[in-house]
Amino acid sequence: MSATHKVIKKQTAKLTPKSDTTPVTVHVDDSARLREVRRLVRANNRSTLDENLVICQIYMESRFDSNAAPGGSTAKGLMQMTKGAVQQVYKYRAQRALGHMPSDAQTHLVFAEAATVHASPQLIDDATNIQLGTEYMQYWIDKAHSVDGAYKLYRGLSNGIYYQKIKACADMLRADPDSMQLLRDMVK
Amino acid sequence: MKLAALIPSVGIGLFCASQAAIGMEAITHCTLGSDGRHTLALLRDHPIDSTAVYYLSKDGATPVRLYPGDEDQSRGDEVQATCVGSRERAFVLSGEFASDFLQGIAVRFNTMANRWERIDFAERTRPASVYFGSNGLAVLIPNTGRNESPERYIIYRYDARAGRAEQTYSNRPPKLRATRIPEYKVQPGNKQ
Repeated sequence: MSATHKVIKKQTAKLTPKSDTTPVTVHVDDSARLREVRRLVRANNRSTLDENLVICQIYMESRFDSNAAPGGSTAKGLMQMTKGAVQQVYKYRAQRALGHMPSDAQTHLVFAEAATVHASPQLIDDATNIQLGTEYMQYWIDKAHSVDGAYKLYRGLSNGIYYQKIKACADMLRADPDSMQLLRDMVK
Repeated sequence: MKLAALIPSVGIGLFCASQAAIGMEAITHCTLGSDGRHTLALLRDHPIDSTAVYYLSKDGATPVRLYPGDEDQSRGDEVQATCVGSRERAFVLSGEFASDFLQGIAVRFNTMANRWERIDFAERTRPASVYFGSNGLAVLIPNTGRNESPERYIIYRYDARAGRAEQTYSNRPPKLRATRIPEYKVQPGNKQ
């Protein structure tokens, strides 16, 4: 007995092509954020610090992430401003305006105002954060009478490693202003 | 990581207006040294909002500000303090002081070496553990990754020759037994 085969349907679709697994280098222009941060620093730097130094500090602090927020700390924004740092900025403004240290009652008022700003979305606005962060650095520069000393007080450590790293980064970034690699190398 | 006995802790962060008129307020104290013959007391003064100026007193001596410099250097907020350890205790304090980082200290009286050992640290997170080494105290702080180094841990070790602590980064914790620092509760006035 011979069997007969009836063709129901022929496959006409194309076979899936063999995967091409050859590695391909994808070029991502991550210097766009660096250029953006540089523009922000130029427009909002309220200190005598060099813009490259501020850029390297910002990368050290937040890796350019406006929403960086370490657990257990009140640090916020590009420059990781704590509530206490914002309060110090407000107190220093009052001190300069008055020509002397504010009284406890005046300090209470400026602390409350600063705490409100710190709790608001204003603080993660990049421009505002850089204004406050650089004003805070100027407070430390005025207090320490040197940039090196200012960063020791800012960092809360006297080993000077923080400033050494951002200074070396800034010196190289000045010569190669769009290089993200220099920033990444700083924190390796 | 082995856990040593956890000691109830004390947190300080509440404004206490009545204290302004009274003066210095004792917050807590720890009995230190393996023979329990030393004490370290934490006090505070001059409150403004949720901040106050913090002081330490060793063995009942006149209190001194937590940090050198003017009063603002020792004005802290979000301050937490605790005594940790079973056979021997260490006093650990952390909070937001003048620096833009969480600052703090760990203090122990090393009875074998007959010396006070104080570690000053400043990082983005609070310390997780202390280590009672015969050569000196150490403190371990987890690294957030947004720091001067990508390594997992920041370790401060007391250096007896320098009389202060050195900060190092490492992917491995110290090999000694860890004494974990617990989450702090806000219970002003506790004595330990």
